[in-house]
Amino acid sequence: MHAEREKIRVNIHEGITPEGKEYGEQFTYSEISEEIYRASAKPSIWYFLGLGICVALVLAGVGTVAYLVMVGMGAAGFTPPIFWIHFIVNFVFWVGIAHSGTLISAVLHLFRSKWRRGIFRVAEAMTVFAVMTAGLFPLIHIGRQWYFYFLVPYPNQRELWVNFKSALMWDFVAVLTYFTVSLMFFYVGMIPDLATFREKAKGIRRTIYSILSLGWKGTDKEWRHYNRSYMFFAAFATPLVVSVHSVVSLDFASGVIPGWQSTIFPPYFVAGAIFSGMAMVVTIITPLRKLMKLEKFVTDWHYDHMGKIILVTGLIVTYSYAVEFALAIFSGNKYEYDQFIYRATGDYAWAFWLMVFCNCVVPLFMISKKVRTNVWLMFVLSIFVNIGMWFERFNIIIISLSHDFLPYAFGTYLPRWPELLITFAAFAWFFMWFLLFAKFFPVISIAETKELVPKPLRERGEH
Amino acid sequence: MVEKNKNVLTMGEDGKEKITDGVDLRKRELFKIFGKTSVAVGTLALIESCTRKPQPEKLLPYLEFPETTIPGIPYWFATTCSGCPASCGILVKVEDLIPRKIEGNPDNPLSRGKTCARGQAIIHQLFSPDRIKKPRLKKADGNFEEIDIQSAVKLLTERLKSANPEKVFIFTGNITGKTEKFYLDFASKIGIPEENIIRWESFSFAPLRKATKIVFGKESVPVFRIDKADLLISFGADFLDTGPSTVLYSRWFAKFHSVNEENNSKGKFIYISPRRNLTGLNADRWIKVKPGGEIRFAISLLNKLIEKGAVKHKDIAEKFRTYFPEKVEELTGVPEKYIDLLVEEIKNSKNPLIFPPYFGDENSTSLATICLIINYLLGAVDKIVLEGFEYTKLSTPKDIKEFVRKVREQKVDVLLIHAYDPVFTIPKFIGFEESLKLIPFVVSFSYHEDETSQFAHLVIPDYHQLEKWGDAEIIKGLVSFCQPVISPLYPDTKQTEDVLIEVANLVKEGAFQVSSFKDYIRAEYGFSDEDWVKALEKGGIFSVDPENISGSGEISLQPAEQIKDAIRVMNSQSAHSDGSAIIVYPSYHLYDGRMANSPWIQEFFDVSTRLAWRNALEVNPKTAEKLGLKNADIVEITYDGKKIELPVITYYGIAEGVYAISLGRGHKNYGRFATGRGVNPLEIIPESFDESGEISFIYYGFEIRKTGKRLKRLPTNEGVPRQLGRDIAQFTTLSILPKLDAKKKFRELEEIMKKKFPRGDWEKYGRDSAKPNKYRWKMVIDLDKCIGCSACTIACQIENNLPFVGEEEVIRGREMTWVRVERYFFTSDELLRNLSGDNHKGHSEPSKNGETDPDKVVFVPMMCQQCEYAPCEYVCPVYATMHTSDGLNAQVYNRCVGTRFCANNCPYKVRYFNWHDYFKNVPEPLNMAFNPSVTVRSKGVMEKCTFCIQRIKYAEHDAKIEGRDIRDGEVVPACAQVCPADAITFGNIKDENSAVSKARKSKRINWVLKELGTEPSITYLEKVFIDELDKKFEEKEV
Repeated sequence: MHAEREKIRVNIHEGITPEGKEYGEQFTYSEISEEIYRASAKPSIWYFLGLGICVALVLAGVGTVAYLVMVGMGAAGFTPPIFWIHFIVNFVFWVGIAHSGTLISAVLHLFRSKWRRGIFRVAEAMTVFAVMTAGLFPLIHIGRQWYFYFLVPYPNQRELWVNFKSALMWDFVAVLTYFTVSLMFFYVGMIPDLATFREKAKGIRRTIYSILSLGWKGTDKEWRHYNRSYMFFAAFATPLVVSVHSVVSLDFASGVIPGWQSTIFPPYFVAGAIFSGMAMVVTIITPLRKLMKLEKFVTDWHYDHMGKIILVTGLIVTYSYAVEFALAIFSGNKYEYDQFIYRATGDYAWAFWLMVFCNCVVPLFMISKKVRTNVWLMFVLSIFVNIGMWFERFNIIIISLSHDFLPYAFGTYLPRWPELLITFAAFAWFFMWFLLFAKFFPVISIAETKELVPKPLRERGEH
Repeated sequence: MVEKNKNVLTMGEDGKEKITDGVDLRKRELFKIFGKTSVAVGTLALIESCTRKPQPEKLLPYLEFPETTIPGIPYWFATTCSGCPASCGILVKVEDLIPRKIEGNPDNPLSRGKTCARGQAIIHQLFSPDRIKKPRLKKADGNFEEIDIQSAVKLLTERLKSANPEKVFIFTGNITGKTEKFYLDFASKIGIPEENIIRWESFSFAPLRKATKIVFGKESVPVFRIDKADLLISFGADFLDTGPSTVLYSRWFAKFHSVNEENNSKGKFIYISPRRNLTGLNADRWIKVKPGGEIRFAISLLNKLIEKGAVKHKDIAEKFRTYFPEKVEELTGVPEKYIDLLVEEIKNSKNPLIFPPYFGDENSTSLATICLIINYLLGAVDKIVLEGFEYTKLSTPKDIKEFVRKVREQKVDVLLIHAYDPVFTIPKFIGFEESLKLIPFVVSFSYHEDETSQFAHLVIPDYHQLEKWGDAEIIKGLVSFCQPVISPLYPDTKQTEDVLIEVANLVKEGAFQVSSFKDYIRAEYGFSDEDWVKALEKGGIFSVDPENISGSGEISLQPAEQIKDAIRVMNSQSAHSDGSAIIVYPSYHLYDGRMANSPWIQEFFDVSTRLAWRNALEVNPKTAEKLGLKNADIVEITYDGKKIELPVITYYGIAEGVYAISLGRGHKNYGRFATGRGVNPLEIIPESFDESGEISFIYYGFEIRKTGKRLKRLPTNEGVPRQLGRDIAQFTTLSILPKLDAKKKFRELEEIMKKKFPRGDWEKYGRDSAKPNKYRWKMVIDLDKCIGCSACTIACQIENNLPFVGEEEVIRGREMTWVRVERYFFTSDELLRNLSGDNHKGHSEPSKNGETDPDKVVFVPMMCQQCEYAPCEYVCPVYATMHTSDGLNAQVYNRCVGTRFCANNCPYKVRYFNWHDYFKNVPEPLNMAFNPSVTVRSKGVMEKCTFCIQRIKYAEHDAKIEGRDIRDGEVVPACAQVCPADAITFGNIKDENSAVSKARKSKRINWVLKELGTEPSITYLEKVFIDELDKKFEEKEV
């Protein structure tokens, strides 16, 4: 660090530590651009190794899906009465992960919350890739994948229409809407940054960035339009924070199965989704900032805030579990009652208590600010939360189905390798996109970070 | 029952070409004749000859149909079933010239249009891919060489010519009627002594035969008129499982045991045995007697009866009083008060009947004797028809031992085997298998690969039953004919009787006047052409109807002293004081194992253990806990150094400390579906004979050792056999029954519906929302009649082309059984709690230590409930399942993409998914049996019960053509059609007078899971328990 530069540095983050120390470091405009562009420089061997593993897993997953299509869904470990297994678990899980993206970019944007700036690009990318992952699962899951277009409501010569009474149709619409809006939001927000990259890149990269940045010049008029449209998208996306996972929860809540039919599901799912999404942001951003040396931009100040959100949503989730249990026990409905007793004491008690530990106990550590600002501890805790949330869906789907109405038809699930492999392949698919994104796009918003630089400093240096 | 258009297949053996060659003109000719049956009989009889050229072995569908057959219009042929020796009359549906489905012959008084599960499946044996297609000759190196039928006949002839007829033996099954006469004729014509014909069936009913001889002086397997009784006490007689006529007894049992709502009465059935099979599970009280204690129990009962003056013939009775074993309770394991209670029950009943065992431990003859004495003393002989089932000449295992001795003494030169696989069915200790190796020339006439044919020097494959001519007279005067319903599938096979005629004629010229067995039978009955055709159309000559026969009260007792001398009580169980015993028992669906080559029967869930594809060691849950055994643990059973390994299954229907293994599995060579499935306990059982020569079915002194191995899971469809306080199995008790009110129940249902649709417009959304229709199909299942035999399951599978899925898939719970017979166990306590309503909350655990084992059983046939407000319908995103205007919950296979939401959301869990292309598992030619009216489903498609929509459509078309409405009873789904207990009623409720509308007026009406507001189209009539009986027994127990 040069001594003269230090003088003109400003704190790009608000807030101070309890000790009165300032968070983060101070940057000039050009430094911000430099630093963030540097992250997309030629990657290390570790990057290629990671990408290689992801691609290999994805290919294995694709092969498995092909195998499933060829021999029938029976190759996976479906064990009636459990007709939905990991494919739907993963679907709900990934839709949930997708959730915090919108929350961070749209809702927090509307609330003018400044801490979102360091992480919102990552969260948005995560949203897009998570929906891309989630969207695959219904297609993998159905019995006759080659007829998936039967599910699409479009006028056709077969004169067949879809059933809009089915929650699956609502799902289809909700997730598709969410994906479209998230993608637009993600892309529009990235345009000024892509222009910055265009300026710095050479060769083919430059051409590509030129096309992607849609000829952004940074004029006042463009900025005015940009800000308006961004605000508009934020407003448009905000209801989706509530709607998408509410609708996904109706897949279950509109059913009659004990453990599914519950009016608490929509808010409970939304809270759970934000919970898991925020945890996933922590899980992703921690290694990312380390590998890409972006510690200056994502600091424990951000972790503190993310921790708070995880804590609050975690408490809501815990409360929902409690309410669910209370409703089951005091409602007098013997099927519900048995279902919840079974969850806690039956064949899958391990999965239930694992979920309780991960989702109810683990977030409680985040009450302490020391924990919230300890990056690696947060990383570990966030992984617990991810596991816990995956098992929440496992419990809702698999345990409910294995123990519904007719005792004679009760059954337990026998896993097989295809669904496990596809589950891992889905993670690989998600991380594959993420790794590619991290090297080709600005992982932290350059433009918005620059907004934090105080006015006097804006005039110095290039943009 | 709708009158079926019955036809006679009158083609001769020439007809063979019709399958083997697609464009033969003679075949076309033949089928012209086939249509004009009655005219052609005489002519064809003449055409028949043995001069057939060997044809290439191929099964081809028709390219051009014979002119007289109309595709899609089935013909029905009457013939006789071969699923067990009971020889029920059946009708075979022949559609597009291929037999597709079997139904009972309504004219036959034995079957009355019904069959059991076995009868449904014999069609799979016809099309079994592992049939022997060509005669085989064993070469010097022990390998088989295929030869043609003519040389095979020649070889046999030569052999018989040179052999000493005294040293020629014939094994047959249970032969009756003119078939019996034929064998006797054959023997006498070539000089074989009559006693050289050994009639071998695994279950010879010898103890009962001997007992009737002792008591009444006449060897007989009597017909017990259980339908006339009001109290039935069975000493381990499994008349519903494998008795002499399962179908007849099932029908009678339903009649006897189902409730009479007007009189509020119901027959009481008490079952005394250490283990419950299907029959035992239907008992109102199960008295768990210690193995070996049955005889002592019976003796005590006899004495108490006499003591309390409950008998009619008091003077004779006094003579039997000498027996009174001390320590009844200790010896039988039954509280002495139970005997008092039984005596009381017998005293109070008008028509008591004691059902003696068909077989049992080594005292079973004496036990049967005592049962018959009690019956006599109670005056119940009017319900015992000594002119009973024709099983009386069957050989016993002891006779086989005698035969083996003869073999060892080289008194057997030639053995002709025309019985179901004796090597498999004869217990190993008899040494039959070894003895076969000592016989110079063994001929097997098996139609199918089996163990015996491996030991034969010559195999001349027989026709399958459905390709054969023949007759059976299982009750004197009740003749059922066999006629071929398809021409022989394989040209190098030949009906054994025809082979024998040919051989006899070659050995001794002019031995038979006729050249075929068909002619022989016809000649023997002396039919004119017209009568013959009529008889074949009808399926037989039914001059006797078991409904109308009754025992005469005049049956005289043999001298009491003589009877007393004959009673012996052996004590082998006392040597093993812990009382643990292994029971081996015939299984309902496999019988002696002959049905094991049908994959659908392999996948049939055993009526008691609910296992498919294998058998297991049945253990009481408490014993299992004591020994640290869990379901699916593999144990090794050793007896005298001989070992078998099999998994453990816990079962409430077995007394503590007792084990059981079913028979009929463990084939070493019976085709691809049977070989290596399960174990055969006959391999290790020790020598032990009953007085009658039957083996003992209970063994002591074995070792059970855990191997440490485990199966992943047992191939069963049973989740939890307890109701867990839910209201699934519908039942009530005799004392509550009069208070029930059908209208009130309908009102309750309406309340539920109103709650679901608070605006009161619920009718608008379901039911009649669709366009109005004349029909609304509903089903009523009477749980009080249902005996849980699961014949409906397999009938449905065959009618609706349900595939079998294999053991691995069954372990995963992917079985395809549109009708699943659920079986719930209750304790009497639980039952009473459930009825008083305070068990509706909370979770009642499966029985723990300290709680008595649940012994009340309700069978619930669970199929698609065709809900009016179906939870599966609204969740389907593509409208693949939707309501039709006639009230069906239809499934559109072509539209289905397989999201499986419907299956998840179905509270009844009756939707089945095609996880793979299961129909591809069905090898040729087994796929020939598929029903052409029903589509075969591919992978990725959901399916479920359709109420046999194809049958509804057929009836609709017929009605439309004739310009009328569908008549009541015109549409009968396969499950209702087959049900031997007649528990299922189906019809249109828009017709006030239909049977189903009437059945819905019963006060026992109820719905499963009605609180969900699905309004199922299937209503269940509650099973009625006799609480007064339970109270008496349980109070005294304390």
